[in-house]
Formats: sequence, C-alpha cells, structure tokens
Amino acid sequence: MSSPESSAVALIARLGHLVNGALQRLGIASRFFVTVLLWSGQSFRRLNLTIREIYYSGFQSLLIIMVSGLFIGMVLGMQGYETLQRYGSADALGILVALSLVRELGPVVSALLFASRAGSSITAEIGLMKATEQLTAMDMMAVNPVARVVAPRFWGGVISMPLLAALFSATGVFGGYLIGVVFIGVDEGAFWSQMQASVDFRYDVWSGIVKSFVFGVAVSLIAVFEGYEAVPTAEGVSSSIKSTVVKSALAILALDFVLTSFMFREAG
Amino acid sequence: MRFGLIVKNAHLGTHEDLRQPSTPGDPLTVGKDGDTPEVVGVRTSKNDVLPRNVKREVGHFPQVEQEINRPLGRDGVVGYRFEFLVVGQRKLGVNRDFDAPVLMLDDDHVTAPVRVHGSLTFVTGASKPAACIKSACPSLPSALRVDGREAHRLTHALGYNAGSFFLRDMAVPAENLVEIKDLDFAYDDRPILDGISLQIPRGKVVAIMGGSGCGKTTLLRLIGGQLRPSRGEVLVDGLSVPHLKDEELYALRRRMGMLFQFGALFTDISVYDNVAYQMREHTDLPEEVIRDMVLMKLNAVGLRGAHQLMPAELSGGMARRVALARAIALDPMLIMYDEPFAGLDPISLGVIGQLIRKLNDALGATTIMVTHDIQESLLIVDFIYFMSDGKVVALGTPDEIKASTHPFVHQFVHAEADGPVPFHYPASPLARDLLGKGVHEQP
Repeated sequence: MSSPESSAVALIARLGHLVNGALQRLGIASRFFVTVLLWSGQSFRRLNLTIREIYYSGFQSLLIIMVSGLFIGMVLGMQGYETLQRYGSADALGILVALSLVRELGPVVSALLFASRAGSSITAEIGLMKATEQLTAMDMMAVNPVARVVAPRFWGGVISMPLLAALFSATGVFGGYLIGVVFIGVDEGAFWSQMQASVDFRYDVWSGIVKSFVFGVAVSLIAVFEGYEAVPTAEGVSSSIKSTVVKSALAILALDFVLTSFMFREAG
Repeated sequence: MRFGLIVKNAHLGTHEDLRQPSTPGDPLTVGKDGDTPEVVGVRTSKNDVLPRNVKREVGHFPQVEQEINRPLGRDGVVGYRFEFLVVGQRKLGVNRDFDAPVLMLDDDHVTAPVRVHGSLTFVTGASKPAACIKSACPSLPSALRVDGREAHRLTHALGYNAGSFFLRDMAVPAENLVEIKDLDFAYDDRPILDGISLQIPRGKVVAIMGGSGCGKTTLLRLIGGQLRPSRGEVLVDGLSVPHLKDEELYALRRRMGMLFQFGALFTDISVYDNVAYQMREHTDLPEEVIRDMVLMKLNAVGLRGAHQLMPAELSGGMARRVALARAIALDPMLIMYDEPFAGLDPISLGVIGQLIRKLNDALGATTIMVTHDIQESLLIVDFIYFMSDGKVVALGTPDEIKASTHPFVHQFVHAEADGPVPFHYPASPLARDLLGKGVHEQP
C-alpha cells in the first residue's frame, strides 16, 4: 500500500505533467497559428478557395444563427419587459434588447453556435482528410496542405464570424420588437428611438464587432488546429471534434470576460 | 508532365488539315520538303524542373510555328509508334505569345512516327524527351545539343554513342536515381531503420519487401522527405533529401508520384478533378488541355469512362487505379507505391501489377514499390530488396530470389508460418504463463 506522502508526490507529478502537457500543446498551437498566417497568401491570391469556405462555414450556418437570434431576441423581449415594467420603464425595452445583443449575446452566442456548427465540421473534415492520408498525399504532390486546406478554412471562419454575429444581433432585435411592440404593445416609437439614442457605435457596436472577430480567430484556429493535429483514427477524429467544441466554448467565454473588462474600462 | 518540342521553320498545314486523321502507318510529316525545321525549345508545363536557359531560349523565339506534345500512348505505353490527335489552334500556358497551331500526339488516331525534314537542333533536354524523340524523330539530327541530366538517358534511348554529341554542359547523372546510405531512423525511442543502405537504379522497377512493421513505408516517407533520418543520407537524383529547403523539396516532389495504400483520393472532388489536381496546382495550362491530359491518364488506367464518378462510388481496385492516374499526372521521374496490392481481388491485382510495369516503361520513370505480395512482384519487378528489423537482409533479381536458399527469403517466398520471422510474438514460456505466473491481467 502506498504511503500518503508518495500519493501526494504522485498527485503533484501528475498535475505537473498535465500543466506541462497543456503548455506544450499551447506552444504547438501558437506555432501552428504563425504557420497558418505565413501560408495565408494563397487564401487571398486564390480568393475562390476562401469564398468556398465562407459559403460552407458562414452561409450554411445562417439558418441556425438567425433562428437562434430570433428566439433569443424574443426571450429578451419577454424577460426585459417583465422586469422593466415593474419600474415603469417598459419604454426602455429597445435599449435593453439592443445593448444585450450587440454587446454580449450577439457575439458570444453566435460564436458558440458557430463553434458547434462550423468549427466541429471543419475539425471533422480536416481530421478525416488526415486519417485517410489526403493531407499527406497533397504534401507529396508538392501542395502545402496548410496553405491549401487549413488557411482558407481559417480565414473563411474569421471573415464569417463578425457577419454572423451582426445578423444574429439584427434578428434578435427584430425578435425583441416582435414580442415587445407587436405582441405586448410597448410603444414602437419609444422602442426604436431610445435604442437609437442609447446604442453608441464606438462603444457598443464596434466592441461587438471586435469581440466577434476575436472569437472568429479563436474558434477557427481551434477548429483547424484540432483537425490538423487529430490522431488519424476514428476515435482520434471524434475526440478532436469534441475538443473543438469544448475548447471553443471555454475560449469564447474566457475571451469575452477579458475583452469586456478592457472595453468596460475604456468606456468608463 | 506534358512535353513538347517547339519547332520553327516548318509548316503544319491548316487547322482543318490537321484535324484529319492520317492513315495508320503513314508518317505524319512535319514540315515540307525544303523546310529546314529547327527544334528551338522544349516546352513543359510551368514549374517543371527545366534548365533556365530553356525558358530563355523559348522566349527568344516568339515566331515559333509548331509544337509537338507527347502524352501517353495507348494503354499508357509510349511505344515506338505514336498516334496523333491534332487539336488545332491552341495557346498553351507557357507560350502565351505563340499563336501557331499546336500539334498534340495522342492515342486515338494514327500510329506513325513524325518525320521531320531537314536538320534539327535540340536546345535542351526536358524531363523525359528520350522516348519521345526516339519515336517522334527517327531521322535524328546530327547536331544535338542536350543539357545536363537528361543527356545520359537520352543517348541511351536513342542508341547513340554518348560521347559523340555531347556538345556542352554535360553532366552525366548517377546510374542510381535513389541512393540510401547508412540510414538510421527512430520514432521517439523506437528504432525503425538501422544503418540501411540500398540503391534504386534509374528506369527499374524495384520492390522493397518485408514483414509488417519492418520499416518499408518509413523508408518511402524518408525518400519523399516527409521524415528526416537521425543519421545517414537519402539521395534522390543527386539531391540530399533531408537537407533540402522547403521550396527545393517541393520542386523535387513535383517530379515524384506516390500511390498510397488506400489511394488517398480527395473525397470531395470527382475522379476527373483528382487527376487534374496537380496540373491545376502546378501549371497554368488551359482547362481544355488539362481535360485532354486527364482523359489520357484515365485512359491509361482504363477508367476514362469513370471520370465523372466520385471516389465513394469506386471499388477498391478502381480507386487504386485512379490514384495511379493521379500519381502519374505530371509524368514523374520516380513513382513510389505503398502497398499497391493490399486488399485487391486477383483481377484488380493483376491489372495494377501490369500497369505499374507498363507505366514505368512508358514514362521512362523509376519505380519503388513497397509490398508484401511476393508472387505478383516476382512477375513485374527488376529487383527486390528484403527488409527485416530495419536492415536489408537479402536482395536480388526475381530469378535469384526464386532460387534463393536464404532462410528469410525462403520463408517469405513460400509463405511459411515460422522461420526467421517467428510465428510467436516474444513471450515468456507457455508453461509459465499457463501456471499463472507472468501473465498480465487485462484491465
């Protein structure tokens, strides 16, 4: 039977091993990020490669993004009205819906949806290409797989993300309007005018765009990295897909906190 | 790699004339009596490994009148007779300033050698001019100037005495296309190759055989530059692969083709696009020319009719053949096959085997084939290396291998269960295990 001391040492060793592994992985991911940037030239020279990925990642995510945006906007409309009317401020519903969406929910929820819809499929596609030696074959044909496969998918995601977030926010605002104005009967003029007066482009809309861009970089990088580094087996690819969704979600929420702190400080 | 001779001072006739197929056996004449046609350059697709002076020479002749291209012949074999398909007026990628008719040799029409009136001057060699020149220009010029590495192969193919017409820049290439010297390789701490040395002669089909996990595929990856050895040298066409920079390695890989064990076809694009992939990536040939080339490659492997199918719609043998067509898309100098026979039915296996042999001869290429299939290999290869534990344990021609008494070779050729390659994985004595000692409990 092992002594408590040796168990503690084993625990510390295990912890150290985990931290070490995580740092090593982070280092590899950073190096991979630089490689993707260095090999991005083709994504812009042969724009059709990137446009194709924007279609697959962005356009094909439109439905889920817009439907989700609509429902979240409607829920915000209901919950917001319920709270605001207690204080006699139901007219401020437009501000609440717009600010919540543009600043936070739009970028964050659309990024979470994007990670599960597009990020996972990017990882699966690249992972399976690796497992079936397609990436190796490409490399042997003197075609760099990072330039040809990874970089266009990365940039496709980065470009799609802010656009999807904007559409999410727009449909969300419409959802809020539908519930607040059409069904509940909040004054339409107040709804729109207060929103217009209070939503600042510099601090609200721009910060939302910056956030969604950063989330786009993070999610796309995680998706391509997990796919490219997937263990080339069925189990390995499946584990990479899971990893993409989990890591993307954590990265989005952590980055949101960091970015909000900076933006809030700036705004204050 | 498409290869063309660019000729000036000769006439081809009109576009419509050229569309008429010639009578079989009747030589198609390039030029008229009295012309003094001159081959002023060799056109290859963009990024081909071409001596620099060639491009310059081509650039100096904007008035070039004809271009003769050499694709694969019927069944992928460039024989000594060519068939011609006249495509008519086309501008090819390299010659944007070139408005003259382009004559392409193809396999659907006439069989006839090209007879060129007058004398010819070759400015250069290209990746594989030998077979082409021999068949296309039997009345070979007396003054032939050839650059560098191709000279050696060219002279042999033409049956000329090498010394008689090497006028400049002669660098006779090594006899071996691939040389591996004292090579070590390990995955982490697990040694795979242990001081292995072997040579792959130019123009030959060489099999590397051995049990699973003996390092055969690793060896292919080292030759292709996908792995770097811990010690030793890998030379391909005189270039040290582990020491090449990325661009140099990619330039070398454009001259290599590789067939992967399960084809590794791109699953999201059609058979046609798979074969066209490298042509589109590495050349700026017009789509119509690529189309002709792709169909010819697919014709060579018997799958021209399947060009619209997706990889998922192909059987294993068909997928392997498409992958083979893709591997030879740019007429590589070296073709590597990783287990080309794995999982194939006997008919497909025979077809692939014959294609490997024919394509090697047709392209004037060199083939390295990693395989377990001794019986099929004995039929088609020129030489066999046997590997075990990261070393070469036996080598020889098929006849020598059949007659070999070497225990490893004997076990392999006769598929014996036990021998130098033991039936049992190393373990403690059976009695000890059965008595419950030394057996690891499964989790």
